[in-house]
Order: sequence, then C-alpha cells, then structure tokens
Amino acid sequence: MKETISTKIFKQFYNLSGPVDEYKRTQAHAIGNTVAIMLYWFNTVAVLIATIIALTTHDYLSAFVILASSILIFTVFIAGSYVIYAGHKHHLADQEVEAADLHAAYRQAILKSWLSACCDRILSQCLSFILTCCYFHCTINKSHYHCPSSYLCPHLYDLDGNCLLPAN
Amino acid sequence: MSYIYDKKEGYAVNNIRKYRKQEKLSQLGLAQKIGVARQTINLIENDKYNPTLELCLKLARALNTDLNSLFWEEKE
Repeated sequence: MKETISTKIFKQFYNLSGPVDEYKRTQAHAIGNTVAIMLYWFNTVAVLIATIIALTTHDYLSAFVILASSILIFTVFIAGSYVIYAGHKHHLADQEVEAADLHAAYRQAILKSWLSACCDRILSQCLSFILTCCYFHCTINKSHYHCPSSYLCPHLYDLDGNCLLPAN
Repeated sequence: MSYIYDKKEGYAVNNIRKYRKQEKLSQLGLAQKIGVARQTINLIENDKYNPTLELCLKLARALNTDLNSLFWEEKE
C-alpha cells in the first residue's frame, strides 16, 4: 500500500521504520503527547521569565533573544532527543529482515542515513542562506548598496554595510 | 497463558500464544494475517502491549475463536 505524504512525515518525525501498525502508531501518539506537555510547560515558564526580564530591565531585545533561543534549544535538542530516545526505547525504529538479507539491509540502512544527512545539510544551508539574506536586508536597506544581486552574494559586503567589491 | 489483569470479579488472561499454536501459525504468519508487525504480536503475547478492541477482534477472527476465549477466564 502506498504511503501518503502525511504518513511519511509522521514516520520521519518519530523515526519509524517499516509499515506503521497499531503498536507503532499508539506509541508515537504517546510520545507526541509527552512532548506536547513538555513544550507547553517549558514555553509557559520561558515566556514568564522573559516577561519578568523585559518588565524589570526594559531590555526587550535581551528578553526576546533569551526567549527565542531557549525555545529553539529546548525544542530542537531536548524535545528532539526525547523523541529519539523514546523511539529507541519502544523499538519503533527496529527493522526485521531475513538472515540472508542482513547484509543488503545493512547497506541500504547506511545509504539511507547518508541520504538523510545530505538532505538535512542542504536544508540547514538553505535556512542559513535565508537568515543571512534577512539579516543583510535589515542592515543595508538604508544604504546605497541595496540591489538584487546583494541577496545572491551577501558575502560581498561586510557587516557594517561597507562594500568589499564594486556594487556594479 | 498469562494473567494480565487480576480483580476480585474475575481474571483477564492472555491466551493468544496458546490459540496461535493450536492454529499452527507462526508469529509472522499471524501478523501478516491481521496486518501488523511481528513485533506487535510478540509484545501482545508477552503482555507488554495492550491491543485495542479492533485488534483484539482481528486476532479472535484470525485464530477462529472469540474474545472470551482469548482474554477471559471465569473465576472458579
């Protein structure tokens, strides 16, 4: 049976391998529920702390940076690690193969992991590029260096907006 | 046969392994018959996972029995 895109995303998120049956779906839902509770309480506490910092120091930028970075770190590292750990604990990523197919399955698993790593790297590079463009847009939109090519080659300018290469 | 739930009113038992062997089915064969992974059958047989009613019905049909025989034993 062909998998839908939502099933593929579900499997990718919870590190499921093979067809998704009742056990894997139930365990994945339980893990997702725990992560949702973790995120809820963490976000509540993080927002409270950021609000206190903002109200007491009037340093809104610091409060925002603390809030954004802590949420990012918690979501990516702690919640993500928990999903991997719980999936490993409940054997969600286990794959059963015949003894004769063990070598082929092993090679396929390595190939898949390399492909996944490459995709992740490309994705993170794209995100980095977008973030750089956003930052660049914020720093140069008031200067005469503002031109479309700047977005493609943001490294042509330094962070102060000084042109390192001729704009034209 | 293992007892997965014990209460004064009666006993809930797990007879899946017994009926599977009666039907001369392997774990993999039973799993393929009802459309789940072999690990799921193994976990159910070892009382590490409580299946849903839907899966219990599938198991009962696949093993040519009923839910009472699979999961219930009258108190003596």
